[in-house]
Amino acid sequence: MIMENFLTIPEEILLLSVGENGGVIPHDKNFEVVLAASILMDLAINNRLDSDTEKMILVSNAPTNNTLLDEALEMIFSNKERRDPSYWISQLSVRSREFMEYIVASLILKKVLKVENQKLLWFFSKRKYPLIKDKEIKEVKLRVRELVFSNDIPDLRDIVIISLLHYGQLLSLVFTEPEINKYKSRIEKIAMMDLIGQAISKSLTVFVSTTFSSVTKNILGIKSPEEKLSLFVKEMKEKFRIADDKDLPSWLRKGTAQYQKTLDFIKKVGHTDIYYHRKKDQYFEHTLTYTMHDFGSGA
Amino acid sequence: MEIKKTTINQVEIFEISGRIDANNAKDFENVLVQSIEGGATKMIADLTNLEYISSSGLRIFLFVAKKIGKNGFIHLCSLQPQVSQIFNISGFNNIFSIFENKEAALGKA
Repeated sequence: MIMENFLTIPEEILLLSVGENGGVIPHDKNFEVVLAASILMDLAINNRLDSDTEKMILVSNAPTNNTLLDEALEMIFSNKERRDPSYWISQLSVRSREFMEYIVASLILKKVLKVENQKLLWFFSKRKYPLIKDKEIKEVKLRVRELVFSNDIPDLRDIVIISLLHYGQLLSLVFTEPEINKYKSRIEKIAMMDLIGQAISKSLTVFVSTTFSSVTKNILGIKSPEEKLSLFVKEMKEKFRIADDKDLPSWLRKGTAQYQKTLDFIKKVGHTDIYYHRKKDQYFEHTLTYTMHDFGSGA
Repeated sequence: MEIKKTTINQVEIFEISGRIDANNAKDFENVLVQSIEGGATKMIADLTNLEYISSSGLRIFLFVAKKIGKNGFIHLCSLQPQVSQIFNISGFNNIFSIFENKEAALGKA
C-alpha cells in the first residue's frame, strides 16, 4: 500500500491535532501518551513487534528507515526484559516533545505541512496530502470519519488509529459529541479488532484515567531552579506513571551529569516548560510556534 | 505452519496447522493472496490444527477478508478454544462466519 510508505501512524496522529486552517490544538497529557502508543503501533505494523493476549513480543530490530521509529526500536531492544506496553508508553511519553519535533520535521519534508510566520500550516492551505505516484490519498480525519460512518471492513492502519483515539479519549479530535454517541458501538468494534492495538491501547487507559493537575505553574515564580526541576521531575513521574527513578531518562535523573545540564538550562530560561533533544544533545523551550531552524535536516 | 489446500465445489479449503505469528504471517498471506489473484472468491480456513495465532496472524485474515470484498467470502471453521478466544476478543466473530466444522462451513458456501 502506498500509504504504508508515505506517513507513519505518529505522523497521522499529530495531523489530527493540526487545525483546519493550521495551528496546533494545544496538546494535553492524553495526546502525549497517545503519541507514544502510536509509535508502538507503527512498530507492530512494521513487524518489529507482535503480541498475543498475554504479552508484547519483540520480533526484529531491523531499522525501519524512519528516525523516530528507529529511536524507539533501539530503546525497546535495549531492555528486552520489559514486555508490557504500559512501560514503553511511559518511557516514550517522557520524550514526546522531542519526538513531536521529529514528526513535524518529517511532515514538512513530505510537504504535508509548512511553517509560515512561525505558524504550522497545511502545505496546501487545507487538510490534504500531496499526490503520491499521481494517486490521491485521503487525509486521516476524512478517512477515519468515512470508515466509522460505513460498514466497511477497516484497513489495519485505520483500526489502529481509531483504537488509539478511542482508548486515549481523543475521539473529539475527529468527531463531534453527537457523532461519538451515535457511532459508539461501531467505534468500539473497530477499536478491538487488532490484538496489539488492544493491548497497547488498553494500557493507555491507565494513563488517561488518572486525573492529573499540574502544580508547577502555580509555584514557579517563588521556587529556586533546583526546586522547580525537582517539581518538574515529580510531575513527569506522576504524569507518565514512572515509579522508579532509574526508569527516568538521564536528563531527569538526579545525580547524572545530564541532570546538571538540565538544571543549568532551567536557570537560564527561568521555567521548566522544556525538553531535551537527545539526538541534537540540546535543550529547547516548548512552544507551539515554530521556526524553520528547529527542524534542521528533518527526521 | 503447514497449509494444505483442497477444492470442493469451487470452494478452496485451507487446512492450517501449527502457528501463525510474525515469523510466518507473510507466507500465510502469500498463499491466500495467490488464490484470490487466481480467481478464488470462496474460501474456507479449517483451523482444526491451528494451535496459536498472534496479532500478526489475525491481521492476515482481516486483510484477506477485505481483499475478497463483497463478491466472496472466507469462512472459518473448527477453531480450537484458545484460538476461538482470540477471535472473540478481537471481535472477528462480527466479521467472519465461524462454523463448528468444515461440513457446516461448506453447507453455507
